[in-house]
Amino acid sequence: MPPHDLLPDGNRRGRRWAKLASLIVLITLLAVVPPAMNSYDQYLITLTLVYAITTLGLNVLIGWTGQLSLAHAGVFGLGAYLSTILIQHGWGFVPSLLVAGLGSAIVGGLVVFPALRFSGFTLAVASLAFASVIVQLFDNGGSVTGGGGGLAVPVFQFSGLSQTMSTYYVTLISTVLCFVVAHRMRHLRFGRVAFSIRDTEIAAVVSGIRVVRYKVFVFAFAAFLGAIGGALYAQLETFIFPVMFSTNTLVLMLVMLFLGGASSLYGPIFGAIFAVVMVELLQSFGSYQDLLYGLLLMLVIGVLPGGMASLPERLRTSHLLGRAVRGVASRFGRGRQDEATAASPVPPTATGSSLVDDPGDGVESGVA
Amino acid sequence: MPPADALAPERTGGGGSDPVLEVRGVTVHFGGVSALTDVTLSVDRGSVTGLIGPNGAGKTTLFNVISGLQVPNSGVVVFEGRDLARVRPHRRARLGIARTFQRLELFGSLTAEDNVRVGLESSIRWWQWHRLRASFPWARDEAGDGARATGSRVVGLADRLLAGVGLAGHESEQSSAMPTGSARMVELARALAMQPKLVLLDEPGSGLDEHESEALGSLLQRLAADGMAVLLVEHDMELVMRVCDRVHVLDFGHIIASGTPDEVRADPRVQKAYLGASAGSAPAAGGDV
Repeated sequence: MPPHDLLPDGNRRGRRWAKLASLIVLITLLAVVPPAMNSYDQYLITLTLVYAITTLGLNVLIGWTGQLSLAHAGVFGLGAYLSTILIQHGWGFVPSLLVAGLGSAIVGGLVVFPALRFSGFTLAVASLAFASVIVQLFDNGGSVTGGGGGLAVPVFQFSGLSQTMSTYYVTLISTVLCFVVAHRMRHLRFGRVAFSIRDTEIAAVVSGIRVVRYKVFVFAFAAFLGAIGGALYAQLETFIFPVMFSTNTLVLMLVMLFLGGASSLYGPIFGAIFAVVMVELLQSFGSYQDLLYGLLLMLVIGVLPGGMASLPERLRTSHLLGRAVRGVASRFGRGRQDEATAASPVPPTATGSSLVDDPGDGVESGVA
Repeated sequence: MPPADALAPERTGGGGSDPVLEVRGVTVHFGGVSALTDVTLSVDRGSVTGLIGPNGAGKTTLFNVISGLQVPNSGVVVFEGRDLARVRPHRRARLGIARTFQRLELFGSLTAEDNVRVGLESSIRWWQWHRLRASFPWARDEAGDGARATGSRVVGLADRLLAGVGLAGHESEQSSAMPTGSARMVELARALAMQPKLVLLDEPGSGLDEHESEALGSLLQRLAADGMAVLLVEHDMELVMRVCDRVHVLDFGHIIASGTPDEVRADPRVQKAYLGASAGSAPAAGGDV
């Protein structure tokens, strides 16, 4: 019998409900609290969610499937421009959002063609070129794209809500939907297949996986998320220029991806929070701002190579920080252990170590 | 590409043997170097066929040709009477050709169980309704018995397959953290998960201790008894001689001998290829050659 079955079923279910309940509380807070904030904070929290959706797309592509494609800033811009142009032609915001997402999925999915032939750096360069072609189109699109002068975005608004709050609620709903979909994908077959393509494509092929089909889907899905992020970004900024979608934006996305934790589901959220909060906090340092940002970035990556999402795991295994945590935990553990060993036949090591471990691991080591 | 009917006579003229796989006249060049020259062999249903030879003899190249990763310069690969020339690698896998790799190719970030699940699930269409329904937690938690059964049946099968290769209790270990011997067995379980008709094993015995390699040997014989065809590349001569029904010897890209283990062992060319000029003892001496 597999050891994880030894974990009482009620316990596992209980943890799942606890997780779900805390998520619902979090989402409720996100729905209820922002109206009470000032409009600048509302803007920042919306920006964080927009970045999280966008980076999630990049995460599916790079973090999960291992396709080093760098067209994401271009696709982000495509979503912004497409939705804006559609709204200018009298479309409603939500339909324009969806159509911009689907349209960009088709265009962004084209990057799969170099990806079928190349990987690694060659793909990176090819996709970067693709992105710069897209941005060139914005720059030279005449009256359609407004050229270098950019486009004013017709801003959508719910009656009874401010512009920022209207955008905020659409963004919040989009974020929840995108992450729910990504969560299901990750924990079902798609996630296993994506990771297997990343780990060793050749074994995936001889295991009967249609790698080409999966790649097409992954590129299109990533572009869809990027474009949704872009369309919401346009609403938030109310004015878009080609420079907003340059390589600088790509670098920001990559920072959010790796800082938050590539390959983790919630990494993009942590990365987006970091990017937005740090820029705000460091603003008081004036001209030292960029320097401090860079140093901080290096520090975080140095301490947490797996990104911020790996922090709990890191606490368990790291030498300095972890020893302190483990020390405290085992001290409490030992106290309880003496009582436990008197009554139960479970070997003492099992309870002692399992306090800081994931409950699943603890049970497993108890069996071994 | 030769027409299908041109292949037929040879196939039916086998005289009692029942080949699942036939490799005919396969030649592969890498630049000016020829890795395989006019290689012809067949693998029968329900048998273990050994493929031995010194390092660099072309064994892995031949595996790549059979599984479709390497296009041969000439020659044909026929699987169950079907010319595979235009069949892409993932289709070959679904037709029933599974393989393992000499240099382990595991999905390192997945658990042992999930490695096997990838193999199991590759034949399920993702748009199939019950799979789709399994994506919605409420459908699964409520009366969605169908969905639930599918999900847990796959897990149950994966665990059974792992138990079959001696890894019961290791299902939730991350495969990249497993010792080589166990990792090879995960790879084998993943290959078997596809319910193959032919399984190509590239040195499954390396990294196994004596006890494990004995267990591997009897597992291979059991698979063959169930009707699977096994093509085994292996350096552990003891294992090869014990479990194989037929053995082919590859040297510098040529098949230099074919026959039963005893015939091959007695063949002077084989002894020369293995032991150089100082031919005396048979390759059965074992160990790494």
